[in-house]
Amino acid sequence: MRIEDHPILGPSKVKATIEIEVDGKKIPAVPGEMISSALIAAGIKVLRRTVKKGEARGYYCGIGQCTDCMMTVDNVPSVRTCITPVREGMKIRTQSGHGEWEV
Amino acid sequence: MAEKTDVLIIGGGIMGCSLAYHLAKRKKRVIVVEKSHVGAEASGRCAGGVRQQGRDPAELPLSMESVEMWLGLSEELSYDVEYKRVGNLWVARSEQQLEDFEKRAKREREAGLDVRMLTPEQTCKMMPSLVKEKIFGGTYCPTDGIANPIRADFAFAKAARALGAKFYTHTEVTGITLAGGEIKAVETTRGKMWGEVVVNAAGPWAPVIGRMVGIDIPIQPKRCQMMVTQQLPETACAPFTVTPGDYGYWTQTIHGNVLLGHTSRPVEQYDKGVTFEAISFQTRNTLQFLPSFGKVPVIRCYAGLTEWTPDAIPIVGFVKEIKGFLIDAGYSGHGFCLGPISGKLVSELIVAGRSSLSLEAFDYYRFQQ
Repeated sequence: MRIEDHPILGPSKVKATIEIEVDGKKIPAVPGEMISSALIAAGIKVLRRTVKKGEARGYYCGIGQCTDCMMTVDNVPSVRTCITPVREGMKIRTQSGHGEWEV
Repeated sequence: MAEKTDVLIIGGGIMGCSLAYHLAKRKKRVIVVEKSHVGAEASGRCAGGVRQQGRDPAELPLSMESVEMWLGLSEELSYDVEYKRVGNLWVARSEQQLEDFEKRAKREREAGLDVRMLTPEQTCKMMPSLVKEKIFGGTYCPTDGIANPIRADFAFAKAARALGAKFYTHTEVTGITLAGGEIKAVETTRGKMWGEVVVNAAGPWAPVIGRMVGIDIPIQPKRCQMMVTQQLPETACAPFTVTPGDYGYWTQTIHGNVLLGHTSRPVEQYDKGVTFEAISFQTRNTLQFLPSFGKVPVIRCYAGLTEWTPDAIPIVGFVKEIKGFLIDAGYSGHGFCLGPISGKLVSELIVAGRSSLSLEAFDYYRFQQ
């Protein structure tokens, strides 16, 4: 979901011109937007699963504080997707617990 | 009227809290006076290493005994101190350093400690994030580990309180009244107090307390700064890894955060502010040895003050000049592991007049010889 026509700001000027990969699936993204924004726009709500109970977690604070939106980005685990901008071809994975450490 | 007790402990760090617990267990009345809160300084800010390898020979038997105590500590104190035997890895950066490691490991093995020499390949297998080309090998002690510093301080304080020890936090010692080599009163921001034995466990502030009774305690504060990463998989930094010398160390809490620490630096006026210099030093150091940490988010950093003696081993024992005045400080940045055993031995010294393990090497008068 994206706001296409804002009542005050008017029609949206941004365009999803790049693609990122989420769990092997390609989704469109607007250059400069945060990873979590692209995910929300694509209808992806579950970003990670918790360490102890494997419960679903998603976008919450949106300002890099709560760490609920952590995902594995380009093999780096626990990246806060709400404050990390998208890049063409970025590979993102839903993280289970603390993810995996690939050196 | 001064509030009277058997033992008055100045300082609510791990030494003060552990001692309070062991004394209370031996039915002594104890008061702990702490200028801030329990574990507010080095004891709550350290990396939480519970290490035996690489210690001064005088400390080795104490640390080995302490590690045995750590194993059952959560149960004994009914509070999880998050102790885990993750092992301790020392990485050699030069051929010379590796030779020094070898001599040290030989001595430690003779004392009964399991210390293994590792090739660069074995070292990297232990700690996969290390760059093999940068290192010459290492030593590994599997019975070393980590614990949560804050929880350990609380655990001792909580158990001590349950046994009747009193903790006066946010209470500062402002002066000590002497008469004829005896302590008449310890003045605090909460009024006068008196203990048959007064213990100076004030860490970096031990010399300040020393001056109040007219003795010079050769302890210098140094600042150590820590960076904390986002929670990472537990294989990111499996053992507590140290590059000795003027370098750094890395350890991972059981919650997954990796702590990047580095050598303590002398500091003026007890300043524990964070410096850009330390951030830049440790970042460069980490990238050199563990380049895969380059993309890992660092979520905060903090600093703390360690207390250093000229020979980097503590000062523990009574002083002759003042009756009933005992120093238990100067652990020189590696006291956390010794917390449990130190509290036990010093309590024995106070109650029975002698400790079950020798504290002779930590005599206050060794610097005068």
